[in-house]
Amino acid sequence: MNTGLSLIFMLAPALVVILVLFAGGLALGFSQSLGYMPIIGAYGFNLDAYLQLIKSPGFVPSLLLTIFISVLATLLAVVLAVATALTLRKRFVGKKIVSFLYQFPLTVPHLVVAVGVLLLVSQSGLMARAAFQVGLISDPAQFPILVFDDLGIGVILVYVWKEVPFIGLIALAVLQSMGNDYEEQARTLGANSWQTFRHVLLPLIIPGILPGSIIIFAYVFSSFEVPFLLGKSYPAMLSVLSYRLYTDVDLDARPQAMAMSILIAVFVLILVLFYRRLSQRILRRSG
Amino acid sequence: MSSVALHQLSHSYAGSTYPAVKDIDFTIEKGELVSLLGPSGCGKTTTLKLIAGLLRPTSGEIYFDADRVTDVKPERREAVMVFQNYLLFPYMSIEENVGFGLRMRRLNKQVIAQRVQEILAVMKLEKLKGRKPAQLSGGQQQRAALARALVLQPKVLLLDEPLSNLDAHLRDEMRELILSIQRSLGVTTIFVTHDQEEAVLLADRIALMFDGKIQQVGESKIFYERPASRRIASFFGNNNSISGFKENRRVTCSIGEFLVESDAAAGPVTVVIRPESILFGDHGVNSFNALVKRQIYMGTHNRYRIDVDGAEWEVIASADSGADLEGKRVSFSLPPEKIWVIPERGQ
Repeated sequence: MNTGLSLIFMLAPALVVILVLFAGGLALGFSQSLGYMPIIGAYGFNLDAYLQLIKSPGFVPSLLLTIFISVLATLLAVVLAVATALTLRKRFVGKKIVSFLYQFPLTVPHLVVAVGVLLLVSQSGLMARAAFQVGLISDPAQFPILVFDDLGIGVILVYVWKEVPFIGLIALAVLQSMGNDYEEQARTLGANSWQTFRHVLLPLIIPGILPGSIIIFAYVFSSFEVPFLLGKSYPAMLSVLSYRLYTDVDLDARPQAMAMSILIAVFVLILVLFYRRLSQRILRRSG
Repeated sequence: MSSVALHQLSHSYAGSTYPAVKDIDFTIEKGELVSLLGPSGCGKTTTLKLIAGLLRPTSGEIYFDADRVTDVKPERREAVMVFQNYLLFPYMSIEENVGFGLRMRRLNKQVIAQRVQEILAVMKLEKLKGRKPAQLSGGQQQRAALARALVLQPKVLLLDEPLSNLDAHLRDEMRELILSIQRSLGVTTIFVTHDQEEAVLLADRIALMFDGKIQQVGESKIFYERPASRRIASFFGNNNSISGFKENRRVTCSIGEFLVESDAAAGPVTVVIRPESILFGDHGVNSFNALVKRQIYMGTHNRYRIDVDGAEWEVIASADSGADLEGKRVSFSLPPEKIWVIPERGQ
């Protein structure tokens, strides 16, 4: 049999699932976002839902909060990841244990981390209790608000904790494949430690960790469960807003929920395309 | 430029029990071109990195002229190292690469541009200055790496196997370039190589290293004519050696007795003679017989392998005679004035 044809046959079961569940769902959502919902007697194809959504008072604060949280979480994760990778590549006593602990967050689900953060840093949480016991605070309200807060600090904490090893391990691999040679070369040419990091190590690491950072940014931008558990109700991140509109008892809100989801999906898609172009360019350059 | 003095310099890598470099005492004169020669793993690159400041010696001192630099950081030492694989920064153009060190010193931009321009001209890289390292050939990358070091006008230039990554014809060209630039700039230069021919062709003086120690220092000639040990003679391609016992001007060994003109003390010795010093035929003194195992025609001369008491010696003789000696027993003579006698130390 023709190999192309046999390949399609073998892939068919998986393809069907992907097409029906993913493309089908996407198409359904897209048509609903355009106002096509026979179940409530709506047959229009228009952009009303998008316009209403963008004009609604909650949209802009939600968008800003989502961008703020995604940017900050990604940046913090990258900075900490590079810093830890630079430390972890050195030899030191207990490196095996530290490396194990470092990779540990990769295996923990986001949901578990979110609950953990809640138990740990909420005003009635473990840290607040400990602070009270040692007399640092005399009232739970004196403990800083780190969850359900305006800036999404709790949400950012969860993502940073989860994603540092993700980027860090990539950075570590890049550093180890490079060895010490470039650093030594920079030093004998007169660069001090900071200049060596700034002008040599960083430019060599960044192409390696940029794609990973984009993935994380896209993930945080669109993910739902952590802000749902730890975020303030207003403004909420876009994904939470979308979920609320979707579960609204008023079915008229459904097209807006779908419009929101489509907007997020398009944004993530753009990031993915950007990521692909970037990684291809990096591969070509290093090849 | 400066002189470089190494005093009792030793270095052990972390976790290693025996030192990579041991008790090195060596002075390189101002403006000299010196080669650290030795087989791989002999500690020559370690020595280079110690001079560059990339490794800290376990013990010993390093001086540039009268200044003790043992504790000076590499970026302050003004000893610039050029690595074997060039290590041009891949994301910078050639011009940016060459200007790197000057930028790190925060010099005036115009000064940087001018000095980079000058060195690019010297190294014939002007037309390539906008390119990235990956767009350059090996020889061009080597020139760019040299330019990046020379633009800093270093006190000491350290080259790690500068020719080993190049094709044979490029190697000759690069050797000439290094030599002419070193001569015109007069920069004190230390280069590491495992290739004795490269060291002979390039260096004013050679420091030969085995097992982390300097074995012999001098102009290339002495390594051929007066090697300090059988191993050194062998490293320079001469395996014509035999152990014996010296008394007065006489050495007794397994093939018999012969006369030497050496003043070496009586006792166990190793005797070495160069392949071109051995004469075929009985010349009246120090004559022996041997089987010619192989005769190789080399164009200008013949190379013979003869069996001397189980060891294979080499004889180089003019190709004029034309006689085929392979498989025959012949007589050969060792002129006493050409025999080099090495006293066996200790052991």
